[in-house]
Amino acid sequence: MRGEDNRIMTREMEKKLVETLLLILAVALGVGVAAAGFSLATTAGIRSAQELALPQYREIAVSTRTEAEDFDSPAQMGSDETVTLTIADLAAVEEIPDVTGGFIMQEDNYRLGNPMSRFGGGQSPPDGGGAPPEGDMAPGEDQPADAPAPPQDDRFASMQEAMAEMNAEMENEPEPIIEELHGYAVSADFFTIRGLYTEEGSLFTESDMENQRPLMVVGSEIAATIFEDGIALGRKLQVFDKIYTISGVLEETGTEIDRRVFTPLQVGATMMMRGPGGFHGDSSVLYFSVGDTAHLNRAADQLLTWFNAEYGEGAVNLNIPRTEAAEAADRNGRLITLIMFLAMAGLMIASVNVSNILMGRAMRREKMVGILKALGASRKRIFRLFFEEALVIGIGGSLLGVLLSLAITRIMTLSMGLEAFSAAGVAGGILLALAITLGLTLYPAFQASRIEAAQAMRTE
Amino acid sequence: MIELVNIEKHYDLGEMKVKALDGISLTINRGDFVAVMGPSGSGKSTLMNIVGLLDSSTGGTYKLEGYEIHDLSDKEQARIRNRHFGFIFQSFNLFPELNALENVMLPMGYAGVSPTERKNRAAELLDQVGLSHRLYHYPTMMSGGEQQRVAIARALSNRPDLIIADEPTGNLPSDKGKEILDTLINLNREGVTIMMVTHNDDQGALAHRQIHIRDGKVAQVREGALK
Ligand SMILES: Nc1ncnc2c1ncn2[C@@H]1O[C@H](COP(=O)(O)OP(=O)(O)OP(=O)(O)O)[C@@H](O)[C@H]1O
Ligand SMILES: [Mg+2]
Repeated sequence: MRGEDNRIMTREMEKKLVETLLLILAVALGVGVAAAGFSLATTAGIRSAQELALPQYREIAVSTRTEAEDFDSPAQMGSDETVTLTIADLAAVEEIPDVTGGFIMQEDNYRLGNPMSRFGGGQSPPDGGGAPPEGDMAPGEDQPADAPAPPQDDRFASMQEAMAEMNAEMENEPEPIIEELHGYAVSADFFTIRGLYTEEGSLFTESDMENQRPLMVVGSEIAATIFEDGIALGRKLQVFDKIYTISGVLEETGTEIDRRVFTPLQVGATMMMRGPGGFHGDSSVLYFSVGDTAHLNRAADQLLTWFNAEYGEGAVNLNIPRTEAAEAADRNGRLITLIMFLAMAGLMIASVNVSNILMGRAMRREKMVGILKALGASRKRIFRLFFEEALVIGIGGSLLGVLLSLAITRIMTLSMGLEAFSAAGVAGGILLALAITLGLTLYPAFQASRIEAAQAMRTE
Repeated sequence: MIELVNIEKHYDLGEMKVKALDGISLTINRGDFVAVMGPSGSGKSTLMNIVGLLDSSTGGTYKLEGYEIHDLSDKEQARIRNRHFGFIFQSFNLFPELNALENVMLPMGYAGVSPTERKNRAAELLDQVGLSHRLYHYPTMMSGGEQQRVAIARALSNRPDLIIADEPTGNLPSDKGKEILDTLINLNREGVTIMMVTHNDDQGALAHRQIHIRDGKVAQVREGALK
């Protein structure tokens, strides 16, 4: 029931518009900060959990000592003690129960284009440019013997022949618009262990590896950009002395994988001729996947024992990526706790102040309460009268606070590049903030309802 | 109608004990016009507040139409104040945020009267106290006498059985005071019970009964001329 007493409150509020608006603003700040804090904490928590659930955080990386150190002292590269990890070392998977799978990975760069044009000799096209062979190469191919003869032996001749064959194969292929690809030669289990699937085409298999088939699986971003027309699957790429066929395109992952290419690891193949980077023979890293992350350390100990027995004490280096990620998550967690604490402190300061001001308002209207009671207002009615006022401030402030929290999370998202908005987080924050604000505004309303009419009438 | 037996109101101020009311017994019958008199600080207002259910006694019994007031809930007491009592105060106590009409309408809202009905009745009541030309005036725009007449209209809005008036003419010049008193006498003639505090002997003389209070006790009860 709305009566003339409500009208008193409304007119009072209108008269004190500035004070009322400031109260609403105070609530909005408290609620906004709390909701934004909640939202940030929720998204950060989810992100940490999701990240640690990624397959690479259940792996142990095994590399050779030299690999681990070669950044600091590349001179050791060719030293006699160099151990080369091979696919045979994946046998450790069978020996250690905690380890459920493994793969080998070798970082590589793939420079695209005709190597003859780059080296400027032999069967290079007449234009001498960097372009791969075009139609005008055809005559040379028909009569290789007529070609201008550089000093040559049989080996060179066979190489020339191979080049000519390659040129013929690449003849009708479109030209890629990317010069160099970055990626890895991997063993087939890499994809299953990392949980990678193809969008188009297929992944290579163990038999592809054994048969040394020149296949290439590319990340989604590479697939979309390598050729002008955006088509990648089935296309051929010449990388030095090899022609790769793009046999699969990976699903988009939103990670670095999208910008990488993968080729089957060449079992036992010589690495001597791989790209201008030269010798890559010992850059392999073995990854072992552990079923239960709780047993990562135990599995690492067992792996170390296994490799020490195989290659001698200290020959390999073990690294558990999860340890570092978990530490980072932990650091984040503490930072989030601090942010939450500050957000809650902001909310409390705002709420306590609003409560205090409402209390003052109620006490200044003591006389009014006394008269209302004399005219027939019950305690409940007085409570409701004051609580409605608090509600207007609380709800108004909360609505404004929602906008504020949306703005804050949006700014955080934009400035940090991290998704900071979580509907559940904002909703939770708003609810909590509203509960605290209303709780603290209930008190002044309750106090107002307890004002003794007789006492109130004596005050002027 | 009202029966007070040995009503006490003690204030405990630590060291000091203030006995604002110290064993008051009195009966007010339906249709009475009672004047409460006595020196300042004798406890007149305290008595009126207890009778009006604005304050509670610390001792004694208060029966209203046979009901022990002490046993009534806040809600029931509020209902009695709203439906059966009408208050008139020395300082008028109108709501400055409301105009004359709204001030008179307010208690009818608590009684569940619809807005149009309470507006009509408020206008009627204001007309009766001679303020039909002041319906939309706010208290600050009215003279003391006008304000008190609005207060009377407000006290009458729910057709009370008892008017509780604490020095209703105390803040008014004597001619305006006389008008207010005449209004009360007329109401009494129509059957409304009136309990009024006054310092004015002439006004007291117009009541059926004068109850003199001194130091929280009934010092003397005198029958008036009007009976
Ligand atoms: N809250 C209180 N605490 C202590 N003493 C109080 C309180 N309220 C009233 N009193 C005392 O009770 C006594 C009676 O007060 P009351 O207001 O009833 O007097 P009164 O007869 O109405 O006087 P006046 O003619 O001046 O209005 C006074 O002595 C007053 O000081
Ligand atoms: Mg008094």
